[in-house]
Amino acid sequence: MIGVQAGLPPRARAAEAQVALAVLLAAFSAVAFAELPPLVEVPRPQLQGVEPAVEQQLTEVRGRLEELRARPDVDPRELGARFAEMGQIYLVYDLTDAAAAALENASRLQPGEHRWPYLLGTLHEHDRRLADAAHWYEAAKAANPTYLPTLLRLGDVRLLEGDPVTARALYQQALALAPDDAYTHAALGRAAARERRHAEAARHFERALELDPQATSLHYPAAQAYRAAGEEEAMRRHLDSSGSGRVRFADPVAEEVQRQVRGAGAELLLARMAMREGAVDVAETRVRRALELDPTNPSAYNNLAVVLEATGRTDEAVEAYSEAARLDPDSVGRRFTLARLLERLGRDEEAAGHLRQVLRLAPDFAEGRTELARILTRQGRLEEAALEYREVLAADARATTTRFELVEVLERLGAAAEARRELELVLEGAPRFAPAQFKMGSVLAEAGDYAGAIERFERAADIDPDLVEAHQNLAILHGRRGDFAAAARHQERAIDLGPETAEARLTLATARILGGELEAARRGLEEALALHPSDPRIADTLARVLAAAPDDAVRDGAAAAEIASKLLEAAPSAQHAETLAMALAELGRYAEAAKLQERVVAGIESSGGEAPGLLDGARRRLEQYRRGEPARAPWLER
Amino acid sequence: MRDGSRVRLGGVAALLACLLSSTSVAENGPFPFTDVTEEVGLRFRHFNGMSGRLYYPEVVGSGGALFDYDGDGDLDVYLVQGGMLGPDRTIADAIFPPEEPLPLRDRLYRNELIAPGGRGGRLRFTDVTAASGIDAQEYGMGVAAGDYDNDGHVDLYVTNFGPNQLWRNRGDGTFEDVTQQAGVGDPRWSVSASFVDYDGDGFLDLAVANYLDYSYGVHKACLTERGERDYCLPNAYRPALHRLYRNQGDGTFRDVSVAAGWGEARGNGLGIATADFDGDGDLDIYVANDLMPNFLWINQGDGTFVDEGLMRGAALDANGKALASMGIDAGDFDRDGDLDLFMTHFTRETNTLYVNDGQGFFHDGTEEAGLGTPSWIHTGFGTGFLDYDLDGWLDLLVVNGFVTFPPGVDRSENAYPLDEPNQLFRNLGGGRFRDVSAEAGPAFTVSAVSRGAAFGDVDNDGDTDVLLTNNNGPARLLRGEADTTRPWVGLRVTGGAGLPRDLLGAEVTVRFPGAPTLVRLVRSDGSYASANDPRVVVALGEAGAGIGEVEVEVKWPGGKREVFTAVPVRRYTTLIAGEGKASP
Repeated sequence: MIGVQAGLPPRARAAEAQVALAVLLAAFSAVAFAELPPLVEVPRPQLQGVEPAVEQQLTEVRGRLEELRARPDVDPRELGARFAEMGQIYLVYDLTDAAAAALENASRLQPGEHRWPYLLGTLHEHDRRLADAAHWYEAAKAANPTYLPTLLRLGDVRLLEGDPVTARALYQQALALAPDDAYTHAALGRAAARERRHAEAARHFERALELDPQATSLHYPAAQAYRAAGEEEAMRRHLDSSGSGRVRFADPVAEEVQRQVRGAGAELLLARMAMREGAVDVAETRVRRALELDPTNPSAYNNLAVVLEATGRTDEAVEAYSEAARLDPDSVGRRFTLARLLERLGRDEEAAGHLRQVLRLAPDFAEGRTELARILTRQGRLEEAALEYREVLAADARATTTRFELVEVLERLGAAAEARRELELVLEGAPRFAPAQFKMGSVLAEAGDYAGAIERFERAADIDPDLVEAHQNLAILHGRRGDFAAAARHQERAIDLGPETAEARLTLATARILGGELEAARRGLEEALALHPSDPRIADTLARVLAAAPDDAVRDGAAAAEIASKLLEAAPSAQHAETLAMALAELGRYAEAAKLQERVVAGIESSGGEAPGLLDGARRRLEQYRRGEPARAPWLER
Repeated sequence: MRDGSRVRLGGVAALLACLLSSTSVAENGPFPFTDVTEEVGLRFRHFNGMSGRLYYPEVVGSGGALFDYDGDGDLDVYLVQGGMLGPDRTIADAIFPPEEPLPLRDRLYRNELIAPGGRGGRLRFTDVTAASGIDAQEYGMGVAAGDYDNDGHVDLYVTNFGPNQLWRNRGDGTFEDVTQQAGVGDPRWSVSASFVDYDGDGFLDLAVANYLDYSYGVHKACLTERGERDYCLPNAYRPALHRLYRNQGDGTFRDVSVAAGWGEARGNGLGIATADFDGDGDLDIYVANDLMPNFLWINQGDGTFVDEGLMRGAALDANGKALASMGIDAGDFDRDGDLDLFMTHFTRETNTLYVNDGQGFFHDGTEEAGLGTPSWIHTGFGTGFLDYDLDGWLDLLVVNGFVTFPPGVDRSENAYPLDEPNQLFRNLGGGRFRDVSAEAGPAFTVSAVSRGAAFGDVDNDGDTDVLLTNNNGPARLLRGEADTTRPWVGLRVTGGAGLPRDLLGAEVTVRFPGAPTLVRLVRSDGSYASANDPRVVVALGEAGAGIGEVEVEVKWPGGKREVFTAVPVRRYTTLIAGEGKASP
C-alpha cells in the first residue's frame, strides 16, 4: 500500500491510510511528481468571512505552491519549503487539518528538517493526540537533538503518557542545553513529583521560580511538593504566593509561525484568544502587530486599550480608546466604553462629554443616557439627572433599575410624593426587586407605618437573604412594636450575615433583655465581650444583667462586680458607678452600694439633671440600697 | 477560523478505519448497560426554555434522583424540570417547544418492581406526580434526597434558579412543601445540595452549592473570539455564596453559613460531596467550583469549617490551575481504604482524579490513572464511582455535554449543538483506568447534552443502574447488565428504630478471608444536581469466589465503628447501628 510505513503509532497509521486514499484519488487527477515521496492532499479550507489580507495571503501561498508543482523537474527540497510555508500559514490561522497535511508533505520532502515535524507535534499535542505528537517530536528530535522546545514538549507528552522516567531523561537533556531555563526546571519538578521524589521536585520548582518569578502558578505544585516532603512552613509560604502566571520557554520555530500573520484582523483574533488564556503579554504583542499592519484600525486600538486596562495602564488605555473613537467617530460602542473608563477613573466631566456625543449619535441608547444621568446625579445636578432618567423611561417604561434610580434622585430633590409614586411603579413591574422593597419599607417606616414597613423589609429579606440592613431594620421595628422575640430573631440573622459589630451585638442583647430572654442575653453578651473586649457598652450591659436580672440563675454578683470595677477604673462615669453599685447590692454590700449610689445621684444632679427619668431611677435605687434591697431589672424602669 | 474540511476528513478516516479494522468495535455485546427507558415507561423530556437570548441557566440543568419515596424497597425516580426563561418570554417563544404537559413541573415516578404488599412486580415506572402533591414549578436545577426529620421517609430538597424547595415526605405517598417553615428557601441560583449531619446530632443538615449571582438584570451577551454570540463562561458573573443550614431538630433549619466559616467564601459551586475526607470521624464537605479553586471544607468538630482545599492539594490541578469543576464523586478507587475524589471538567481540560494519601491530603493522579487524555475534548457533568462489572474495583461513568458552541458548527441547522457521547472508564487495578466507551454499546454512542447522573440498583439485582438526565432531551435509564452471579454484598445502613434513616456518610468495609480492602461510602450526594441510591453494592472480586458470607465493619458518621458478622452474599442486608459488635 502506497505510503503506509511500519512502526508508526495508530493515529499516524490512520493518517497514512488517509494519505494513501488521497494519493490514489490524486492519481486520477494526473498530477505526478518525479522521484517525489508520496504526498498528502492538502484540503482547501473554506475562506468565507476571512479578512481580505489573509485571503490574499492564503491564495498567494497556494498559488506559489501550485506553480512549483506544475514544473516537470521540481526540486523536492524547494517544494518542501513551499509546503512548509503553506503549512505555517494555515497553522497560524488555526486551519489545522490543512496545516497538518502541508507540514506532513514538507517533512517528507525535507527529511532532515526538524521544524516541520516539530510543528506537527505541537498540532497533535494541542488536541491531545499523544501518540501522534510523540511520533512527530521524535522525528524532530532525530533531525535536531539540540532544539530545546522539542525535548521539553516530547518530555511533556511522555509525562502525559505516564512515563516520567523517559520524561525526566528528556528534561535532563534540555537542562544540559539550558541550565537556567525556568520551564525546564518546572518540568523536572513535575516529573520528580510524579515519581514521588518530593524534595527534588520542590528544589526544581524553587529554581524555576527564582528564574521566572512571574510564573506564580508554580507556587502551587511547589507547595504540594513541600507538603509531601513534610515541610509545612515552605508549603504555606508557597500557597500564599500562588497565582496564575504561567511558565514559558522560548520557541523560535513557533514564533516564526506567529510572524506569518498578515492580517490585522487575524492578529486581533489571536490576541483575543491569548487574552482568554490569560497571556496578556502575548495579546499585547499581537495587538501592536495588528497596529503595525493597519495603523488606522480602530478595533486594534480598542483591543490595545483592553490590554492596557487589564494591566493597570489606565491612562494609556484612555488614549487608546480615544484614538479608537477618533478613528471611528460614528461608533457608539467605542465612545461609550471610553466614557465608562473615564467614569471609573473619576473623570466624570470628560465622561459626560463623551456620553453626550454618544447620545447625539444614538438618542435612544438607554444605557448611555442612564450613565449620563448617574454622572449628573453624582455631580449634584439632580434636575438634569431626573430629566435624563425620564427620557429613558419614556422610551422603555419597564426599565426597573432606571426608575428606581429616578426615585432616589426625586427623594434627594425633596419630591417625596412623586418619588413614592415612582417607587410604586417600580414595585408593580418588579415585585421581586429587593432594593425597591427595602426602599418602600424605609418610606413606610418613616411615615410611621411599622406594620407596612415590616412587610416590605421581610419581602426584601426573602428575595435577597444577604440583605443585612433589612434584618437590622426588622429588628428595630419589631422592637419598637414590642415584639422582642422577632426583633432578636432578625438581629441574630443580621449578625449571622455580618459584618461583626459591637452595635449589632448590643441591639441583640437589648432585644433579648427586653423580651425577658435573660439567659440568652447573658450568653450573647459574654460572647460579644469576648469578641469586643474593649467595648465598654457591652461590658456595662453584661455587668447590669449579671447584677440585676430578675432571674436567680442568671445573676452573678461577683462576676458583675469584677466587670464593673474594671470598667469604672478604666472609664469613670456615673453610668459605670451605678453598675458597680448594683453589683455591690447584689453581693449584699448595701452600705458600699448606697455610698456609691449617692455619688451617682450627686453626679447626675450636678450635670443639670437633663434626664429626669435617669435621676429618678438613681434616687429610687439609692433608697432600695439604704433599705437593704438589691436592684432588679432597672432597664424596665426607663 | 476553523478548517471547514474537518468533517469531511473525519468521515473518510472513519470509513477507512471500518474497512481496515472491522473487529475493533464490539457490535453485538454483551454490553455493560442497556437503555431500558422506553420499556420501563419512563417518559420525561427536559425543557430548557431557550428562546435565542442564551440565558445562562438554560445550559446548566437539570438533574434527578433515585430514592425510595414509598419505602417499599425499590428505587423511585424524581426528575427536575426547567421552564421558560426571560421576564417577557412565553412558551410560544421557545425554540424547542416543551413536550411535557403544561404547566411544566418536576415529576415523580413510582417504581413498580415491588408491588403493594411486597409482592413481586416488574421494573416499570408510573408517573405519580399529581397524587404525590409535589408541585415544583420553579426553573429546576437539581435535587438532594434525605430524611431530614428522621421519620423514616425520604424527603427531597429541590434546587432551582429561584427559591429552593423542601418537600417533606408524609409517609403516605404524598409530600408537603415545608420550605417556609423549615427556612431553607434559598433564592440564590443553586445547583447541587447535600443532606449531611455535619454536627453529629443525628439530624441531617443541609449544604447547598450555589452557582452565580445571575439574574435577567445582569444577563450579558457574550461573544467568542470570532465575534459569534455564545453562552458566557462563569467568570462573566459574580460567584455566589454557598449555604449551610443546621437542622435544629424541630423541623426547622438555621442558616449557619457565617458562623460555620462559609460567610464570605464565594464560589461558582456546581457539585457537592460529603464524607470524612481527613479520617477524623466527622463529615467534611467538598464543593466543586466552576473555574475557581474548589473548596474542601474540613470540619473542625465545633460547628465550624476551614477551607483546606489548597493546602490539602484538592483545589487546583497538578499545574496549579483552577479548572471548571462540575460533577464530583468520592470513592476508594485504589482500594487503599481512603476516599479519593473524581471530578468532571470543561473541554480542553482534563477531568481530575485527586488521590487521597490516607490523611486527607491529595495529589492530582489524573494522568497516572489514564483519565486525562480521554476527557480532553469533552465537557463532563454528572459522574460516579460504580463497579459496573462487579470485579471489586470502582469504575467511573461520566456524562458529557458542552456548555458553549463548538466552533465552526452551523447553528442555522442545529440551534443547540452541545451534544456529546457519555463515557465509561473501567478500573484496571493498579491505579489505572481505561476508556471502554467504544466497547460499551449503544448507550455510549448516543450523543446528548447530558447533565445529571444518579446511580442505584433500580431492579435490585445487585448491579448499579444509572439514571441519566439530558438538558433539552429525554431522561434515560441504563440498566446494568453485570454478571450478578459474581459475588456481591448489598448493604443498607440505618440507625434502626431510634434513627430510622440511611446513615449518610458512613463507610463500610467488607472483609472475608483473602479479601482486598473493600471500602464503600454510603452517600446520596455527589454527581451533578442528582441524588443517588444510599445503599451500597460491594462486589467481592475474584477473591470472593465461593464465599457465602462476609464480615462488615461500619464506620458511622462521628467515627464509631461496629462489626457485623455473617452478612450474606448476593442479597441486600440492612445493618442497624447498635446491633453489631463495637469495634475499636
